[in-house]
Amino acid sequence: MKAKVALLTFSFALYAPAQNSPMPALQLSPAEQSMAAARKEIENKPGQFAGYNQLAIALSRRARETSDSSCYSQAEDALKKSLELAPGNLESGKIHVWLLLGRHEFPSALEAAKALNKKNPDDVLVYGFMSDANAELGKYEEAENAVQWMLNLRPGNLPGLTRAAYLRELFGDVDGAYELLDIAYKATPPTETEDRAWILSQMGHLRFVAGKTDEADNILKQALIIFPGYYYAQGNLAKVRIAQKRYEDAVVLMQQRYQATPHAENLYDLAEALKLAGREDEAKKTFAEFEAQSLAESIRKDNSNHDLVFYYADHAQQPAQALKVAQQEYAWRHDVYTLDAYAWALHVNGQDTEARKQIETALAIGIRDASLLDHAGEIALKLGDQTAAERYLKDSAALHANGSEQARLRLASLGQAAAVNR
Amino acid sequence: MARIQNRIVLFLGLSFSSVAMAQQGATDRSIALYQVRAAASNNATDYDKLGAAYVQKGRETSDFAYYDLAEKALTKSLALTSSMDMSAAAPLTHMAATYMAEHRFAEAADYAQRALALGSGDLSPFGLLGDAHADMGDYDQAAQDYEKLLLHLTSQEPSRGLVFMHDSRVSYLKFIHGDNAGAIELAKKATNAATALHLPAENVGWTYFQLGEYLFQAGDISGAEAAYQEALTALPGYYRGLSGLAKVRVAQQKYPEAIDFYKKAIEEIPFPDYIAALGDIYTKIGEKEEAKKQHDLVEYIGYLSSLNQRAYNRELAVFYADRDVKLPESMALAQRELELRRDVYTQDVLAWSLYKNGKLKEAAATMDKALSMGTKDAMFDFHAGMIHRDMGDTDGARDYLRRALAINPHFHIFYADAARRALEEMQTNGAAKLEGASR
Repeated sequence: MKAKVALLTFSFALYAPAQNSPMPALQLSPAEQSMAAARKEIENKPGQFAGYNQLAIALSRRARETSDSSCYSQAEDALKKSLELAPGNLESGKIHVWLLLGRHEFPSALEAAKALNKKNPDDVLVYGFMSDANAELGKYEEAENAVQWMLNLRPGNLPGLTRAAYLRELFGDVDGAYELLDIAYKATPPTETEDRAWILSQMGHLRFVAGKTDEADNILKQALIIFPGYYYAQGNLAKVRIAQKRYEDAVVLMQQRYQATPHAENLYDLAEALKLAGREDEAKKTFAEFEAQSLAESIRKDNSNHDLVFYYADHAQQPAQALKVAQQEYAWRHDVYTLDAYAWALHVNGQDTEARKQIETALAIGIRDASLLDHAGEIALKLGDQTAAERYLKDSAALHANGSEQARLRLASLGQAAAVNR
Repeated sequence: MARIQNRIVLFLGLSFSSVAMAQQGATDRSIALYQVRAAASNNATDYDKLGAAYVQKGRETSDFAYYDLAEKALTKSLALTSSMDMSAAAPLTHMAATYMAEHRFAEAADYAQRALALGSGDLSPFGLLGDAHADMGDYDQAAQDYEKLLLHLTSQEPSRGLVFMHDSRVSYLKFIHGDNAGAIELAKKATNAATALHLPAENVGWTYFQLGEYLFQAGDISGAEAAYQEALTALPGYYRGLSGLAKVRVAQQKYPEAIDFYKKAIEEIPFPDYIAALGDIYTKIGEKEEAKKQHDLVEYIGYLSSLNQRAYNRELAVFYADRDVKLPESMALAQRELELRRDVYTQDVLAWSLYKNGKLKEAAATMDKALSMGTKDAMFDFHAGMIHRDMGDTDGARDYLRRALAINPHFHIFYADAARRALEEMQTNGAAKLEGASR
């Protein structure tokens, strides 16, 4: 889920329109600078729609910078103005979809993108939006189809490559995903530091989920050299630190990331890191903060319900709450991470038959995620299917990634320690 | 003296006409077509195509005015592109090509990078980026940029166009690094590809011309002649092909024919170095008046070009230095050029100019920089030889001059003989000295 949001960011970080020289105002954030530039453009050419479109994009960036959702409604207002000036212009249509995606309104985004696609069947980015919305909703075949169109229309285009890599990972082809990102990285000029850092962060993530912790470590450090303080790299490196049992370092990184991007889900990761570091009181306090923040956004589509489910299931011991939140998400999307959260909520509520159905649906997509496999193992175990449970747990442990440790401990408790200490 | 230059061969997005079609006409037709279309549609693509046609026209005519027109059309195109797609990639790339042609290397690199940053999947801006880096003297970076042309982006076959762009450029880098055989081999591959790809005739012609230059530098005069002929077959009346043949005739001491070829080339494009070379032939055959006429013309072009700035800085710096006139100006021109263009050729020109200005130490230090890549260009070694002779480093001078003649015994209408004379003199003086010592 998080990876996907960053993915969208990437396709737009690709082109900052008409900004040859950076704005002089040092205090302004990048989004604020774009907003100021757009407002100036509107002032200069009030009758033209382009300035309003620029403003809408800038405001959506601001929304991500601040988590202030009122920016989105301001962006919609700018877009309305643009459409008044130039009814039916393609660019405004695309920004509309982009805003819907930013707010995680995936069903509406998909509808709007499909309508645009019908009118403009050769637009690469519209296919990208269709792919994004489909993937988030768990319609992976449609997502794949759309990405293939992107790459057919413009072979090797970077937004297409990064999306293809994302799908390959979900389909279990982690090395194939890495290969595409490696090409994307090499094709991105060194001057584009944020884009390069984003790609490296994603490459580091892929090495990490494949259990190549040292390689992930190096790649992510490289990302932070290219783009110091990059929150996405910090978050991924923190996960590497946890796998290396360097919990204090993980806490520092998670804190840095939360400061840069104060989102609820980042608070959840921080709380978990604090707990692992043995800082129980701080962890408790942070979890409580997370719960408050997450609940406040829970009814929105752009929420942290995924983490909230695991919080209620694993940390707060409130299984009924976990299931309630999970059902709310499951009602409208079936991506692998929602299925995983839903399955886990069912599991902690003793509904393991249904839980197994859900987690196996997720795994059938092909994803090789240590945490998902660990969950599948636990669920199978509860159902008394020791053979399947051991297979899942061994697969999870063998990945040496996030979730492997729990699987290893469970196997050990089952007397399977020898089998995994390979 | 025409020098090997890193010139752009880029797909400018023009319709690739059949080889037989007279290229200049095709480009004119493109210009006319997109002028009308852009005015009517006011859309980014039409302005981009118009800009691309102007760049191509600029290449074909070497008339810098077309680059101004290209810049205007492309600026218009960029203003019309959407930030919500990758349509800016093409005008950004063409803008980079325009700046490259105008020798505005830093801007060319900037625009190439901006084009690449869009992630459109088109890797051709890496070719321009490498060209800019090469002309700024960063050959390692250029090599890295060129390798990016071969990134296999999909499971599809690597684009033959990109392979061609890679080969024709890497052949230049090989030459710069002194691997003349390697440069020739890759350039041959590129000529075959250029023909097979049905590139515009001017591009095919240029690719053959480049091969001819490497062969000539390596002293293979008949090989060079054949390559220049191919350039002229691809594009009849092509000024570069004509100038190449003129050089070959000079090497063969067939001066009347050489004069003819230069005259025809100059009719197409009055390049100052062609006119200077023509003047040199007249000098050689004793027609002093004709020679003076040509050399005055070079100065006049130099005066004109000083009005539109630095178009021919390097050519003029060499011209003045070769003739021992306006030496301070020669040095100033070379130094100004070096600020923007830090490749080995500019270093060589500056070294030669410093030498003529009597600044031997600085000349030697600058010459070392020119030679630092190991380039096997007879002129470099000749220049180095003369500098070291005047510094009293007879052994060094001898090595350089011998090397110049070994690379290409016909490397220049005067200097090949000058090198031989200098060697003989050093021999005689050395012998005299030895005699004196034994007495």
